[in-house]
Amino acid sequence: MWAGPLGELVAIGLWRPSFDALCREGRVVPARGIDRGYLRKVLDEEVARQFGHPLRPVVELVLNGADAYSSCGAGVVDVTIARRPAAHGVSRTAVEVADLGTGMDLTTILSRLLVPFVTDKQAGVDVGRFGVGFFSVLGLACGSAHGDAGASVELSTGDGKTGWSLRVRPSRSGAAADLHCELSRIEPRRGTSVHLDGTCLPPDALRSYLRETLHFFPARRALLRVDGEPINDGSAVAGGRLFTDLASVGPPPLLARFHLGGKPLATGVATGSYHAGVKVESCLAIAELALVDFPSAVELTEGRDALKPGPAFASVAAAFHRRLVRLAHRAQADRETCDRLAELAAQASALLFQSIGWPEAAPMLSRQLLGPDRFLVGPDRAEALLGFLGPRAAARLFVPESFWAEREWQHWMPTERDLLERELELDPPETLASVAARRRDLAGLVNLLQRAPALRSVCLMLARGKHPGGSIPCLGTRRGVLVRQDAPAVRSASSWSELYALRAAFTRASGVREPDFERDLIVNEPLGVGEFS
Amino acid sequence: MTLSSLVSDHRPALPSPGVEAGLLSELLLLKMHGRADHYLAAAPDERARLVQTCRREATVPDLAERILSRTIYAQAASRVAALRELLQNALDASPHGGRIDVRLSDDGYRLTVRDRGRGMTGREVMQDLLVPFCSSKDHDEVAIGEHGIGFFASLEIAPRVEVLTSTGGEARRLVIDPVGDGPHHGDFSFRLETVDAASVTRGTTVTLWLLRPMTRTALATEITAAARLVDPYVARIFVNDILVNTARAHMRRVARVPVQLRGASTGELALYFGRGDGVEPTWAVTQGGLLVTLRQDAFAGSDFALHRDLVRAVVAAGYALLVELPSAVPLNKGRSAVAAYATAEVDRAIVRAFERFILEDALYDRELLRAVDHRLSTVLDRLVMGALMGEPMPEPPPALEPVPVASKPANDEAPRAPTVAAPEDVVRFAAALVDAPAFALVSYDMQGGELRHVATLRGIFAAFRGGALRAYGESQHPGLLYLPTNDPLADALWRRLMPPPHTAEAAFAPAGEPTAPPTPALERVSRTAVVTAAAHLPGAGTLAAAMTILEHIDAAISAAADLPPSPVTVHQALYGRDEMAHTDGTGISVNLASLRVRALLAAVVTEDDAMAFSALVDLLLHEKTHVSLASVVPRASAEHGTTFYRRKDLLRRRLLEALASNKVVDPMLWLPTARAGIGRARLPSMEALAAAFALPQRRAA
Repeated sequence: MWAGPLGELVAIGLWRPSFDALCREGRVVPARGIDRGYLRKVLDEEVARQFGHPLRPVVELVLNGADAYSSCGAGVVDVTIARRPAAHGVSRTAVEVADLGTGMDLTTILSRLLVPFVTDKQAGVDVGRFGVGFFSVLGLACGSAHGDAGASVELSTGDGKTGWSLRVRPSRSGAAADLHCELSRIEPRRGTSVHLDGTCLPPDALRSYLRETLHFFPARRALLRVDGEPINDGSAVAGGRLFTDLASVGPPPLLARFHLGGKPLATGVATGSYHAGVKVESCLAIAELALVDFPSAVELTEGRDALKPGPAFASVAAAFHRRLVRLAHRAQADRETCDRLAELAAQASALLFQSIGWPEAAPMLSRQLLGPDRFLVGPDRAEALLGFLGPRAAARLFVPESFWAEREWQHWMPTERDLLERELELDPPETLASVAARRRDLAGLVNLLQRAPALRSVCLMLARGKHPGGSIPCLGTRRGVLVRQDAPAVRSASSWSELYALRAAFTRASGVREPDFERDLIVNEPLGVGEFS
Repeated sequence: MTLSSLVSDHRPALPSPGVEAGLLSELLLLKMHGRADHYLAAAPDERARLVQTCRREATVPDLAERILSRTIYAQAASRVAALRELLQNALDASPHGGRIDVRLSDDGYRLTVRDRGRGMTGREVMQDLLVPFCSSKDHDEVAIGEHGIGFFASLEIAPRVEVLTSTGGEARRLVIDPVGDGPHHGDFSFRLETVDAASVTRGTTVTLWLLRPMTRTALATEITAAARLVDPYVARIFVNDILVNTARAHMRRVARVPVQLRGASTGELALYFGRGDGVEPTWAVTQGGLLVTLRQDAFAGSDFALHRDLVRAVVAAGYALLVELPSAVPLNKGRSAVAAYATAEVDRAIVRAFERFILEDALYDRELLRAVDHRLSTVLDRLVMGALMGEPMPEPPPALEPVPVASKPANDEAPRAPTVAAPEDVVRFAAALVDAPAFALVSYDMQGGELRHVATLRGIFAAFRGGALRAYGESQHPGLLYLPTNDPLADALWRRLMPPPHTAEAAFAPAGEPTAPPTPALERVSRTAVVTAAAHLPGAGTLAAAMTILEHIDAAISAAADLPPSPVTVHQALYGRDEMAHTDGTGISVNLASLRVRALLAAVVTEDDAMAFSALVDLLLHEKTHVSLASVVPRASAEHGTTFYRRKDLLRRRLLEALASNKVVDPMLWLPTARAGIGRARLPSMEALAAAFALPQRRAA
């Protein structure tokens, strides 16, 4: 019926006189009124530069298939992936995506499918609604690497009364506007199937990418099958629980989905943010959470790799944080679990929610999960602080393991510095030598200076605690080494454990690395007796 | 009410001479329908007719509005992206090393980005800036902007925008205002007028009236995130007069790889590496220094597990790895990723750059290796596994010859099949890792002179299998190769190569074994074995007493930390003389061939030497840390890194706490009991002890 470059076909769809001639009379009138140079540029952007992920166009096809059922109840979208016999040492893959939903007639093909940016899909009902899904598939026909000729794309569709076939073959130039198109009438049919054939679709990678991206797609919308096997039947995650929470009161009410707990059973399936059941971003750092689903009210970027923050986005984030608090309360979680939930909230905020709503959430979470009188401490400092302040301080430290959680919490909680200021009274800084000379009563320090004269000029501050301290009498801080003058190891030097405690604590607090301390103590320390034979 | 306010509906009043005004959607519609030039030349009433004609001819009458709204509202995922685009434009226009100023007004609503570049003519504004997908940079090799939509992103965060631009000869002011109600406006009006060129300095200033106010801190954070890696030599970016692109100074280029797209070269991709102030430990992809993606996992796919582990180890150690894409590599429209059609090629180049970095740089960076913590074990496990999966080790091994310096890694320029993540690539990488000259070995000549050799993993495996590998310091035999284990990589490898003693015995047994080892080796023996099988030896009582004390120290440590006690044994020279103690994951064994260990034991048995006692406690704490980590880390041979020392600190704290609160008995209290019955304190000689427990095959030799 019509054959020629894609640019011409799109121009016909855009220019009413040509469009009418082709659709009503089957007559071809060149689209004189369209700037081909500009159209070339637009097509180039729309076809080849939509997505970052090379396999994403196939997902778009599957979503188009699911949307084809939106007016007629749930159906099945079938994807078949087959490796084709290799020619010239390059193996090809044939992929077919087929649905039996509402198909398209010629008018729809020309004025919807083939016109960039135009779509009839409705927000909140349909998944794909940028009107560029099919265009991105044509990107596969453009080829990529040198020697990769690009895939051929063959679309067969029909509304039950008519049937149409659109075949797109790669062009030599690789430009989208030059892709060779062939539009023809076929047997009437219902539903759409798109057949891809090319070298750029590695079968195993495609299978795992489809599963990874679509395993949370709601099966009540459409069952998705790859080579006959359902991929969105929940079989990719074991355990855990799916919560559907009210994120904001409409109209229409906004529902958000969270899947917490559970273990992934397939490779690539990991925690991530999902948009209406389709994966947007992975987040491997969080083990306990499988899914945060941003419902269709949250906008997705055209590149499909990020969510656009907006009021709905903030409500979903807030609902998530509320859900964590409710979980903790309902399970009467202990302190450790609550701390872990607070860490999880911060991780999710930094990695999934772009920190949106965190200024509101952090005080609430701190109150509800962490409780009063808690101090944020990094994992590197926790051990030293516990040793210095004593095991009773453990309940007051909040020690997130994750870098992201620590960063997210740091402006919203008092820190180590606040804790020390509250717990201790400090003398002005002095060197070890001058303290040892001035305070002969601190026998531990005097002895330490004799044993390790190298430490003489270390800057220290004598501290008195309001509560009894721990077993490590010194703490390294930016301002100097804090030494508890009420600690037994500082006041006396009578037992090996006192000597050892002060020696280890002071040396480490003054910034000596543990291996160097070990060498000094275990290997080089002079002994009372000589070598023994 | 003034007359002007009456007529300034969203349809602007008739343009006066030198003033252009209209709607953005109309410019786009006319461009699409090939009448843009005609329009610009036409008189005002004819312009309206032209627009009407185009609308009539369009199949989709509101196509222009749709394109506009997609372009403005569907690209960026965050405010940063719009700022990034403005910076991009400023960078493309700026002269080398030029200054770009980003400023925020006190109320947080007015944001300006100013460059001192070439400016735009009125025609450029009308034809390129205001029409999506048109870019004056289409043929510019250096400029990154190419989509012609960057400017539109700013309309999302600021529907009212003013641009003041001067080329030196002419100056223009452009004002864009939204039409209709927001937040998503269907269209925008523009007004472009000539201003006095003398009053404006050369360059472009873009002013945004933000929808939502920003704080200066937030602005600085966001600009820094997007542009901290811009080379200050290209342009210096100031946010309210503070320079933000400083991170590059802490990074060095570690690899360069050419990228080919559709058969044509697009320049070289570079990998940067470093840490320091302002450098976040992440894996990032940039173009022209501007952030494209911050990925949590650099290499996707199961074939790249080795690469992924290496990246994780490096990033977790506080280093940033940064891929700088050549300017010709296309990005997707939202600039959040490389355009899909180029992904495969770019990924391949990234893999190669990363491999070069590891093979030619990272393996020799001692500071980095030390910093990568216990994660090194995972990497090394994979490395060893990868080596075995690569090529079979040469048999028989060239055991006793000095290991040659390996040649450069496998030829990178060899043509490759166009598949992503081909397993053969991984094998090649593993093989190249095995051949990287990352180690040093020491051998001795007949005069006892020390010779240093550069060694590869392959060479070390060969020497190990040939029974010629020893730890450095163990002895000085000509014909044997010694691995200095003070190096973190070598230390980790040594722990990995050292199987339980019995296997080690077999591995060391064949030819090349010196007939008279300088220190008589002894398998691990328990205190019970000492008092039964070696009771006749002079000094056996002292040894048993010393071991009792060690057992009590271990018992105290174990009880304090809620760990099961470890069986304590002694051995001689299994891993050389300098080694003082080791663990197999459950038991702790001290080396009686170490003179220092003998001295420490002697000191505590004969007198209450507090420092000697502390030293023994610390030694056992160290070994106990290995034991306690063995149940967490899959290997008994947990490396000496942050995790290790953190755990040791914990064990020490628990021990001291328990002692102070009398929860455990001070092991020193056992000294008098242990000493009882020992006459003259002496330890059995190494030879006598070894002879008493000699293995049958050793006796035969």
